[in-house]
Amino acid sequence: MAVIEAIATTYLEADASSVTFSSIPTTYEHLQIRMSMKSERAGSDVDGLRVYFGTGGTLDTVAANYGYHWMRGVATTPSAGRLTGTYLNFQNMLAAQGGVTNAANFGAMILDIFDYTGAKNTTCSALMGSTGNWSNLSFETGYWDNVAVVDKIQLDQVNGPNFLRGSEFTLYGITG
Amino acid sequence: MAAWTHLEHDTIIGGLPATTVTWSSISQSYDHLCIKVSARYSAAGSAGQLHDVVYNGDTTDSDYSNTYLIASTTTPTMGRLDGRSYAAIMPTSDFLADTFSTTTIWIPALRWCATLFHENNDAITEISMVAGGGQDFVADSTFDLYGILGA
Repeated sequence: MAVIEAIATTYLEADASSVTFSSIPTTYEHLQIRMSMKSERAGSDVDGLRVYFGTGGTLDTVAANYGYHWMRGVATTPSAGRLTGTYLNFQNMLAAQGGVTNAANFGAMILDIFDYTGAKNTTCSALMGSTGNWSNLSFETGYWDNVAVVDKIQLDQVNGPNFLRGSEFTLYGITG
Repeated sequence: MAAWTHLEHDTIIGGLPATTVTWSSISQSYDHLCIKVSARYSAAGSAGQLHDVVYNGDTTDSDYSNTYLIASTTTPTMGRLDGRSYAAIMPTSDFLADTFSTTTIWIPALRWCATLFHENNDAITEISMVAGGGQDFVADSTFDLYGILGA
C-alpha cells in the first residue's frame, strides 16, 4: 500500500457552489487536500475558503463548532489572530473581482487534516497563497470541536457564490 | 518505487502517557524524513507547550539552533535561539478539550529539522520527541515517521 493515495479529485468543468468529498475511508492516519482554486467573488480579489467537516454522512454547519488561527502576509503587512465560533474560514484564496484579476491565475492551498479517526477533535493546518492585486500568503490552523470520525468534507467560499471553472481539488489519504 | 515509506507509528495508549517517543535504528536509505505529530500536553500552560526534537541522543542545547515565527497574539514575532525546544508547539490542559497539535516536521537531507538546525554532520539514526517541562504527552497523541526517496 502506498503511503500517500489519491482518494478523489474534483475538477470543475463549470462553476460550482461547493465541492464535497463523501464516504471518506477510515483506513488512513491523516488526510491532505491539495487545491488550485478561485472564487467568483466580484467585490474583492480575495475570498475565504470555508471548510465543513461531517460524520455519519452529515456535515456540521454550526459556526460555533469551529475555530481557526492565522498568520498572514498581505502585500507588505503581516498579521495574526484567532477566531472561535465563527466557522472555519481560511484566508485568502484568489477571487475574480469581476474580471480584474488575471483569468489564468488561481490560488493554491495545501490542507493537512491530522488523525481524523482518532478520539479527538479534528485539527488541521493550511498553507495557502494567491496573487491578485495584492499578494497573499498565510499559514493557518483550525479545528472542529467534535471527536467523531470525519467521513465527509465540504469546501465552500465565505462570499462566493461559486468556485470558478478550472478549480481543482484532490483528497489524499496518508497511512500511519 | 514509491517515494514515501511509512517507517514508524506511535500512539500514546490510554492510561499510559509518556514523556518521550524515540525512534532508533533509522534507515539511511532515504533522502529526507518527515514527521507528523498530533499531540497534547498533560499539564497547564496558557501559551501552549513546546516539545523538543533530539537527534542521536544529543541533549546539549548549544548544539542546536532554531529560527522561529510565532503568532500567539495579533502580532507575529520571530527570532533565533540556541536550543532544541522550539521544534513544535502543542495544546495544553488549558486549551479546548480533546484538541491536539497539527505538526509537520521536515528533515531534508537528514540534517535539518524545520527551522531547527543540529550542528552535527553525523547521520541521524535516532530521533526523540520530548514533551518538555517534565510532563507528558497525553493519551491518543500520535507520532508518525516517514522516509522519502529522491530520484
